[in-house]
Amino acid sequence: MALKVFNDKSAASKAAAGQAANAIRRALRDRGQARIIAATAASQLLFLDTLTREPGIDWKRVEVFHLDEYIGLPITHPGSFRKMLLEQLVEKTGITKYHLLDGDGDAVEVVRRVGKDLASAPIDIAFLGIGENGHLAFNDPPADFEIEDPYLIVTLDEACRMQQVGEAWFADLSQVPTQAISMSVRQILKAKEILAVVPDTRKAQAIKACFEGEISPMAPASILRTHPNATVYLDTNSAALLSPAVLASA
Amino acid sequence: MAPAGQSNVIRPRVISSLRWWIASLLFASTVINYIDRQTLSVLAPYLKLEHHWSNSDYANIVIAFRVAYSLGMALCGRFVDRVGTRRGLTFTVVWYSVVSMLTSLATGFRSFAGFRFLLGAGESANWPAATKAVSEWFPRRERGLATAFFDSGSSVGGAIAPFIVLWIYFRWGWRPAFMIPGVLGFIWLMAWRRFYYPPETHPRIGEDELSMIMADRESDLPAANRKRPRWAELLKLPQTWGTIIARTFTDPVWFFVTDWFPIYLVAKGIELRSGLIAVWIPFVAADAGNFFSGWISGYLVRRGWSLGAARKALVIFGGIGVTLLIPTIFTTNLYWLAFLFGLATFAYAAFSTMANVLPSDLYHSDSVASVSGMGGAGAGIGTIVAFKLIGYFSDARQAAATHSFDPIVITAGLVPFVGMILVLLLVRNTKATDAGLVRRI
Repeated sequence: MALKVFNDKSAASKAAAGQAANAIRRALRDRGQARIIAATAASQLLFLDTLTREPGIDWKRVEVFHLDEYIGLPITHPGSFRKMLLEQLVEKTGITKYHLLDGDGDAVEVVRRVGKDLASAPIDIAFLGIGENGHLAFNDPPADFEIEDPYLIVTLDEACRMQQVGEAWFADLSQVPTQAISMSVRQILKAKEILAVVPDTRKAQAIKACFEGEISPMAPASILRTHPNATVYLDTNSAALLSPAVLASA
Repeated sequence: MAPAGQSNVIRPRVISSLRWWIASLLFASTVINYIDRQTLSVLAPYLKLEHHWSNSDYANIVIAFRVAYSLGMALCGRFVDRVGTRRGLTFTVVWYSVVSMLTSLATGFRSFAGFRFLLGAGESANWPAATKAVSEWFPRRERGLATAFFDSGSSVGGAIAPFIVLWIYFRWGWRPAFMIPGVLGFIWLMAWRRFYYPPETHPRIGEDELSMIMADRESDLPAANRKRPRWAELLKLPQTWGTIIARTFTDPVWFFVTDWFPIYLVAKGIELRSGLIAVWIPFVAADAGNFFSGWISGYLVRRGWSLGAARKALVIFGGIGVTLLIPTIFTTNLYWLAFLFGLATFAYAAFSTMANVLPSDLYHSDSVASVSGMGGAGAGIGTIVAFKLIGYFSDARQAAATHSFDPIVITAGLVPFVGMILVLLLVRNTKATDAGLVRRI
């Protein structure tokens, strides 16, 4: 895993979008198609926006999978990840092959059906964020590093739900769903390339815990360090608490 | 102006110490041989994801190589004896270079395993062929050094492979990373076809060197009229078992380092590009360990130690030294890992050199190859069993992240130690020694 630190969120997002576009173009050139995983969250908006403007990508041949979604939240709700994925990526690019996690329907059935499609072939690149509590997708600490199922149903912890209120998707904690569908940690690590964009000061504590402490389920994103082809894009705010030794290797 | 027709009478310029130039060619073929085979293990962490392999799948691919390689070791010697050194090495280098290049066309598990098998079959002939070239070109007293020289090509090849392979991989992808090292073999081949002839027909050998080489050949007389012991008789001797165990309990540790180390480092959370220092250190340390062990045991014998005591001193050094693998479970620091693996592989190599020399210490020349072959077979089986277990346990403990290889490195640290105890118990002078079946050590 490699860390890259940029002066601001915009520079980090742009550089990450450049690398993401290259990976997609390479897959299209080598295999004629690309399979990607996209995250939807406040921190990803600028990155996704830049990515959709990248030239030379035939989006018709790109298949996109959804990282996570709340259970019981209608697609019309502003906090809905399906809504964000459709608006921020699918509609802007004209992607036709997309797999939404319908958290408003039979979650067990969605987990089974989309999971089967997801696991049927390798993933070229996964775009991730990292939560304020260090979570990957909705794998809050202590994350399950063992489960092999592509998707699982998880209960959200309070820190995670508070973050969503903080990002102003929900008016207060009581409105944030308590359960979600999340891609599993093992499934995320099966992507050939992983690209995490993690800007902002509010992530600094989590970044320090995940990239300086022990690799452990208590800091879920720390597992990215065991992936041979993962890159984490930080800005100076999210990298603020990292020690000079770790920064020197970035 | 010289008159037409005269130029073909002029002899090419004589090269002094030509035999060392020949040894350099053998060294280069060994370097290329190791670069070609290390391509896979260096790229393993990436290929695993690209092709959806578990560690058990990867284990089966590297086992395909080991099986072909072990069989090839047994069969290729005879082949090289039939066709001669020049054609023998030409054949093996063409074979494995072509296979390495073809590997770039692999599409998945089966084709990788198939190409790996073919690579193992072709690469195994390098050692019998190079050993034969040394015996043709070097007087007895220099053969040890010449062999150590060409054999150290494996360490050098293993040490530089990650730099070449990763550099190509990050620029052009994995297919060129198999293709380009394959091309090296053909460059080598041009030099080989141009410069290698047996000493008696070599156009550039000096009179002095030729007569020195030929004089030594006449002293290579067959052994006296003693009945060659059968396999069953050899297997009744504790010394034979000690010799087999010495190889069986050390080789798998080395092949863990050559075939699994990059995957192990990535599991430890180390970025391979910045971890290159750790990938080449074990190779260099092992090479140093080989020379160290050969030199120290010789020194002890000159100081008046018995041969057995001198050999066992190094076995003890090695058996204890390899346990330094165990503390690596406590660290994910690249420099500590490189340091501990370096010391452990140095110790391993000291033990391994003794394991390789024991057959010629203990047995009469008509049995050395047989016992050595038994050791090789034991080492092959030990490695295959070890790889199956490594694949299984590292998959099962994947969730333990940086600790997923802990049971494996603990075992790797203890197995040579147990081997050491068994060697000390089994390899000694017995009644069979008094009866002349084995040599006194």
